[in-house]
Amino acid sequence: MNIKHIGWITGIVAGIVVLFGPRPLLASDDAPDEVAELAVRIDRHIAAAWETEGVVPAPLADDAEFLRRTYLNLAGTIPPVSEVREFLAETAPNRRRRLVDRLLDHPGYVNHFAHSWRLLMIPEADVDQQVRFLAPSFEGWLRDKFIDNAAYDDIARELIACPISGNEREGPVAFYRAKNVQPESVASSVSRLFLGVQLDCAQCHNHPFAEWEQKEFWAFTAFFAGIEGTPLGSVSDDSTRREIAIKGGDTVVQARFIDKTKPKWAGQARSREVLAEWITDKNNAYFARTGANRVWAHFFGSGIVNPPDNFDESNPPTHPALLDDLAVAFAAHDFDFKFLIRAITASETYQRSSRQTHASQADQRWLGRMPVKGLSPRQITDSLMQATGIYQQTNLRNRAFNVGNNGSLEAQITSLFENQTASNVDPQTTILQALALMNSQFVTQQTQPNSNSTLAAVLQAPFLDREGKIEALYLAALSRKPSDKELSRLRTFMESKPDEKVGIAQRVIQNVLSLGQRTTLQSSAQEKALADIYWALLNSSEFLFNH
Amino acid sequence: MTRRQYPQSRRTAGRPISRRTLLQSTLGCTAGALASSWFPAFAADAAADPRRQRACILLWMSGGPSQMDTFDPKPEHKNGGGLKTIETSVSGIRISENLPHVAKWMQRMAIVRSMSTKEGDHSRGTYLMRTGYRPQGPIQYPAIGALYSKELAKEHRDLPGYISIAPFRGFNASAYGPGFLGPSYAPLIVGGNGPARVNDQPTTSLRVENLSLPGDVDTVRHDDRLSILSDLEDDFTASRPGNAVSGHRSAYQNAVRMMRSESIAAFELDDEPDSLKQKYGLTDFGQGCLLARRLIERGVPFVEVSLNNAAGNGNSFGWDTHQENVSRVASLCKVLDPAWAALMEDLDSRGLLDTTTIVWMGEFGRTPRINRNGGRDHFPAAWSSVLAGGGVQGGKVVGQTGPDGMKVTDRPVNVQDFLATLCCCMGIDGGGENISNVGRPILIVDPEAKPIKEIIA
Repeated sequence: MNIKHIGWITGIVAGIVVLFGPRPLLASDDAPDEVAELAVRIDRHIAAAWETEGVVPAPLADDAEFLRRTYLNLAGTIPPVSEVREFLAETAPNRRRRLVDRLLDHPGYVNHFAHSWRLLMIPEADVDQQVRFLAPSFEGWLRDKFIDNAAYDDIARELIACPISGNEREGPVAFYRAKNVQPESVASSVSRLFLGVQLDCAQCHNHPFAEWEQKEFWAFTAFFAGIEGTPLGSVSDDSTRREIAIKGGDTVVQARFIDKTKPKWAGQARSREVLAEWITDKNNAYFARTGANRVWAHFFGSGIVNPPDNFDESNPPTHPALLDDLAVAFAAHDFDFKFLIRAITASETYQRSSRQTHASQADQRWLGRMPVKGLSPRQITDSLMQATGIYQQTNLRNRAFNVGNNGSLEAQITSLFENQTASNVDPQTTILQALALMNSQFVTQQTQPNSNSTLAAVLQAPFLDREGKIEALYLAALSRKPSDKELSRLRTFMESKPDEKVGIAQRVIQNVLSLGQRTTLQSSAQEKALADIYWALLNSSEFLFNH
Repeated sequence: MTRRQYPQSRRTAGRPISRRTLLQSTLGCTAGALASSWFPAFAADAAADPRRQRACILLWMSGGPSQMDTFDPKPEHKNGGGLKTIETSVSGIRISENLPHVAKWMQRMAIVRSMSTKEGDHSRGTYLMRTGYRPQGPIQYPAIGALYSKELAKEHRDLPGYISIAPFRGFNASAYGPGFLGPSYAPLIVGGNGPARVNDQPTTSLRVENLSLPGDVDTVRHDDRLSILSDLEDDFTASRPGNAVSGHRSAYQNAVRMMRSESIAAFELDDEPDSLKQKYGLTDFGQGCLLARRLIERGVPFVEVSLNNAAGNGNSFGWDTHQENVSRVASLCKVLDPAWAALMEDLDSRGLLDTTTIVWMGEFGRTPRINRNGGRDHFPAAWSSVLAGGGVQGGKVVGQTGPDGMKVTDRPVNVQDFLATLCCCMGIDGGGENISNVGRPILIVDPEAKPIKEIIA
């Protein structure tokens, strides 16, 4: 991919916009709505591929489907019941775009995106015992970036060119520590993350499939030649070094960019700063495309290029023109994440239902329907906490710092659900996950009225009839109302259970007796039946997946 | 994905020549024509116990075990690192002094000293040895545990067919998965999911969590719950067909089956006498091998036990001894040696060794030349693996690596040759096929593979 092509593409794209004119989707003012314009172009690219592939698209998602999906993608959790009720009652035509705007200001957005990028940047922290301690402060640095809505290129520059000295462990230096302060590990990671190029094989020999040679890998690594130290000890950087010896031999190579061009060294320029400038340059096709691809992957489960860190001839983009369009737009808007997010979520492609209405939608690459995707361990944890009503008690600001606690719900969920593959489309459920969701202490407690006060409140609410209670459980767990068919089925189930009425006096006595004692309150058969329904909702694939 | 019916051993015993044996001889498992010498023995075995399940135990040495310090020592050369050799129960075969107990079982073992593969990276090497293929392109190959358990398993199983004990999946998680075979062939993972944990305490981590129903839910109520769940899943599957939802269902069905099965008693290691537990060694790996025997006894066809650490090895990872090779391998062998020998003896005394094939290997070997830190680096060019037990002609050594160990001088064996040999030992029909995720049928054994006939019993 040549950098000059970006110029052509910008011209073509500008031409298309002029020819077909802007068609604001749901904007409310008169100024050019670039979000809507990009959304329309996204849809055009996707539709063009449908023509070629013979795909008949699914209809658009209804409001409940859109709400849950967007909450998970932006705030990392399912919506609270109050939000579900409000959104489903809204009628304004631009309510979906306004939801996105609200969520981009929600603390969940900062948490979720900081966590997602932390997983991308230092995945070692989930596996390596030493590196685990670096994750919270690194994630804290990322959270600061997202709080400030820092641009993608600024984040990249700060990471690549950060000062490395002494015993500092907080912030971007943690990235270097997590890679053992080894130039070759850092170079591999930076290349995958920001350039979408896997150089790793070329470390020891010439890459078997792509064009990279061993010398080229080391020439790129040379930018990091000056770093030295141990993961948890002191580190230093001989910042103007720009050559490195190939490991295991004596050949010394000079620093070169990935496209083999020579950097223009000015005096005592620091190597990593020079590299950072080259990588984040607006005209660097690798950088813009890789960034746009990753944002796309966040919403659709896999990138237009997948795996997203392997831009290679053997791994072509499914929609090359779309990727270029997104990259150009991202760069033109100064790499503002929120702009790209607004445009993607405003597209019909993103708003398409995940229901399959035609066999041609089965090939997920063409996005004839929204793919069913897995949730990250943190999304599962937060959604469980939201659905069971204990979410409000956690301190959202301190989310990043719960990593160390081994027995915590999040730790258990992480060890069961962590996904080490490149995409989360078509997640695989394991037996251990099923056992945990069925029988674990957490789920057991949260589905017992006497240990989950939120559940108890629903089950005992005098202003809710049987249908109202079932509806409340559905709204909490699945963020939607039950269908008539479901209500009728569940009514039959509940009618099959004895209907003892627990009188108020009896309940007061029970409550008093239980104070200060560890006796469990007897739930009525009807309450148990409702708890069973609640248990089933939490164990459903509709709960566990993002769709 | 086609699932072929696995013929019951009962029927095989009655027929003179089974389709399986026919295909085996076509693929070169046998030395000569159809009326070869091993067949009558096989038929006799099957006749003796028609319900005996063939099984495999993979002892996986994470990090790449050093052949020079284990099965291909070079005491006469400086590359040998000064290690001495010891006699084994087979005269003429000597192995490293690090493995005295294993040495006594050489008559049931075949050492392949001429493994020669090309992947020297942990991630790629792990994938290559665990699936038989290099990681490339779109095809998601299954781990051999998934592939072979599918072939070996009988129809109804309470326990999953592929159980992985304390794996370290950090190098390549997809090398531990079912790949294109789909989620119902995924391994049940028991025990440590993390990296090297220095832990030589008796382990209680080899349990399956959450197997029992909560106190206030009896089976009747659990059935009610599952019925509501099933309705939800039916609706969701109808509108969202695909692997995600069907995999979810499959996992739940298998989980419930496990919960209600008596076979989960297998995980109660405390049922074993202390003396036996001590014999295996009070290490994760040792107890893992004991658990493997218990699982094999209950009909699980494929169990793998990973050796990822040893006490005192600091933060070096498993067998990846880039530094202080001699002392670290010695520590690792102190864990491996008693456990493996105890496993052989235990299986033998229960009459299970003849139908259980044991494989010992890692992702590659280690450099014969010792580096500046007293360590050995990655070396796929010439290394060792071992086959033992059922279907294996013991007391044999295949291949040689010359006095300095730097290259294979006789009989190079690549991953497909090795896996083909394993299939022959286990009686797996290599001509069977599965449909991959891109629609192409993939044979269980690569047709170009050359099984090592001398070590197939």
